[in-house]
Amino acid sequence: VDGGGAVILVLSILAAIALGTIVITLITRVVRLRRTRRRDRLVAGPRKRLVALLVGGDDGGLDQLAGLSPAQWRALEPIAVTMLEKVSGNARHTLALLFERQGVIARALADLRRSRFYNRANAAETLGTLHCRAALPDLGSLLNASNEEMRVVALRALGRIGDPAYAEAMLDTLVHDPTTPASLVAYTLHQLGQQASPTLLHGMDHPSPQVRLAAITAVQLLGAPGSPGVCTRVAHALRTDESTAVRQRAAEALGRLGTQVALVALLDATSATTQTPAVRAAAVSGLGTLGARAAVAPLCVLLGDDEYSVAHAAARSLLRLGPEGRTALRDRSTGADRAAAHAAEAFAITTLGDRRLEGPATIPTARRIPVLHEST
Amino acid sequence: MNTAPEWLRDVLGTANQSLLWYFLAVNTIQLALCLLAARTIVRHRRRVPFAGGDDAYRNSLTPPVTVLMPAYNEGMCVVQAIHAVLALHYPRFEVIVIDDGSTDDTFEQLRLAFDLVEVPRVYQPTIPTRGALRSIHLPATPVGSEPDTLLVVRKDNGGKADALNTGINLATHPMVCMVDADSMLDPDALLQVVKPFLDDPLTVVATGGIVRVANGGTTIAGRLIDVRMPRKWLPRIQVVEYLRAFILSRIGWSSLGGLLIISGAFGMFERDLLKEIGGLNPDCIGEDAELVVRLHRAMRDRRADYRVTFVAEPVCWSEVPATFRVLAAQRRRWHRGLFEIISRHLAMVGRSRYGRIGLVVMPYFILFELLAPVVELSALILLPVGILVGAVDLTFAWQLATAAYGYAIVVTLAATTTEELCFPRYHRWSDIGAMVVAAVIENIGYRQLVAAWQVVGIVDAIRKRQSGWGTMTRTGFGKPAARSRPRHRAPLP
Repeated sequence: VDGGGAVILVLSILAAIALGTIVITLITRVVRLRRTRRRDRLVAGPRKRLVALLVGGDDGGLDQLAGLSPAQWRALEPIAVTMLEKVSGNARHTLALLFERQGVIARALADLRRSRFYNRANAAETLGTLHCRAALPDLGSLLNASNEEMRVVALRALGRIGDPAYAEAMLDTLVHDPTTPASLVAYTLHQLGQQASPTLLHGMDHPSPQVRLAAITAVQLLGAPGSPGVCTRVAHALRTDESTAVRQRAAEALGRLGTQVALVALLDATSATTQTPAVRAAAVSGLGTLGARAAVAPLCVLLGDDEYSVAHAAARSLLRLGPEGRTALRDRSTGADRAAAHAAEAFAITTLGDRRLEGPATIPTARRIPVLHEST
Repeated sequence: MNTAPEWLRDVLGTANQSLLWYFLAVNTIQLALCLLAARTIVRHRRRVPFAGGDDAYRNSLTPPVTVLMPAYNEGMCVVQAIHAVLALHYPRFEVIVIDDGSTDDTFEQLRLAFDLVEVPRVYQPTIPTRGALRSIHLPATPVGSEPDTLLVVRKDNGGKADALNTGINLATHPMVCMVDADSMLDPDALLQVVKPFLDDPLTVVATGGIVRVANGGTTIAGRLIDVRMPRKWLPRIQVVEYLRAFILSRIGWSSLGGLLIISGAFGMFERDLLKEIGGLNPDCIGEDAELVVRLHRAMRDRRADYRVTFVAEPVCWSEVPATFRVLAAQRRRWHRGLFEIISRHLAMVGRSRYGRIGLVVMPYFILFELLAPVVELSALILLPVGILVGAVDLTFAWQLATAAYGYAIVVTLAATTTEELCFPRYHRWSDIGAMVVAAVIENIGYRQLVAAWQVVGIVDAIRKRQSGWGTMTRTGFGKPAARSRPRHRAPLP
């Protein structure tokens, strides 16, 4: 091929590729449109029946929907899955029954043992959403899968099913792979409910800081001490744990646990000599969450703290302590020092809330406090 | 002209040969990035059913986010942009709008729309800022779950980076998302862009999202409800340009662990890390990209295990220039920014300490991004001169044109096909026709024009001309809200 021929050849190839890309684009568009129209056509009737079934107005609906053709069910399934995540009680039970009768559970259980990652992950997700207890052993073993994503999907599925017997195995995923998100482990553990508390209590003594963090976070999410000694153990973690992240989370958790033990531990943790600024700020916020009036006086002192985050958190916590906190903020907002600045900032928000409730006509003339600069 | 000296013919012949190889290389890399991006998007979409997106929304441990929206003379669209952000599907977030000394009615629009009142605030400038803070405002009528879900800050003009630094100083949440005031986010955009931080909290330090062209679409309440190709050809060309050069290319680089640019229009970062590295550089025009390069540098210097990722799904819609004048200013500015970034971080190039960023990505950006307009314009001069002096023949000229333009058109068409296959947003048949024509014009005509502006940008950078905020004539996303009579509120104590 001479030079001119080569150019023509290359140009022709490029033109063919360009044309090919346009044709692929057009074919993709046509296929998608046809598929969408077909799905809409197939799903139109079953969707109405499904809604009627869920609101309890169609007694024979379950049998009819269970008898849908595979094509119709494939079209309806995504809608049914979306509904499954939104309904509860009888409607959920009926929907789960429909999935079972359509063979979804049997297929997903089989898929859990297939080698392809996508099959297993989709199956785990489906079984978790359906709260399928029959899948628990397989999902439990997937917590040790070599694929990190697979472990995470299994973890979420186990959380949804909510069997406390798997709490320890779920916590152990952090031991096998410390890169597993501790927040996800904590969230799924809290889905197991208060029955997981003994495992969480045990987890707080684990050598791995990630495990301790997840355990305390799960306790925080549960919001109430399920087992005796949980609050004391979290308070102990706040005082002695070597990890700042764990101590910080312990302070946040104590705020939600709401006991006398929590109050004492949180007040101790506000001390500048024993804790880092992040932990102190978390403890101060915890006092606000706790809502104990006994914290008003110490928080007023902390308004003048050298650490911006601590002083800021103290002002915001006082906001949450009811009339006593507001009065303290108002009293401390006069002046020109750091404490007054933080108090004024928080008090302005309460005034704003009053305006919202009372309307503009009742607003008293307010004194303007400019932006207050605080050097680093 | 065949009487030209032998040495001149040799030089021109070699130069033209080099140009041929250069264009072949740049287009092949672009095509490879496009294919890599397609693979990444397909993988991402296959994972959506079990990615736990709903769990991320329900989980109270999902980190709260501060959305920073710097605004300078954005009176036309800032209110809609805020409405769009406030309507985002995300468990807990605050929005800080920083009015950087606007000379138009930006603040007045905000005051009217959100019934703003001035409030006191303790300001701790952890990152030093230039423009003095004038005042801070909260809406008197609720716009979110918390009283300070929306915070409007007025400051003296100091540039976009300075405005963002002010916002970072005021941010109360651990994650910071930077969004342009001329942009609109899709409802799940924030949730999706924070997802990598949830999945891999120990290593992910920054994420970027897809920015696409909003021109031509229909918006209601700050939400783009009907996406269509713009009516004017200039924005249409930018639609395909964004697809190829900014979306697929970045997804491709991200999959290789070499994402160097996160658009200032939509990026998420850890607040404390931003403070540690000193925030955005107000002396650099491409402050968003410079921030990411500096982040890479800081993390590599610490020998930290980290990731900067680009999320294939979330979409931020932004208005692109519809006139040549505004486009010219934008591209000059962008290229000047690129020059400044490369020159500031030249020490990273070729050093193994900076891994693939120093060894692959930055050399690529120097050769195929920074110098691309120079090469582009050189080709327009060297090829005709080469033909005139007999250094190259017409056959070679065709080869060069094919490599430079034909191949590039194919790459752009491949990008549009990828869009149709992976995340189709343009649903009209006429949009496909418009994209095909735009793919041709983008490479023959538009590209050369942009190259000329980019070269001016390089000259500006070398001459160190003064520059502030980029000027952008907005048409707005839809009908502006009816203006009500101004009401004056007393400032709060």
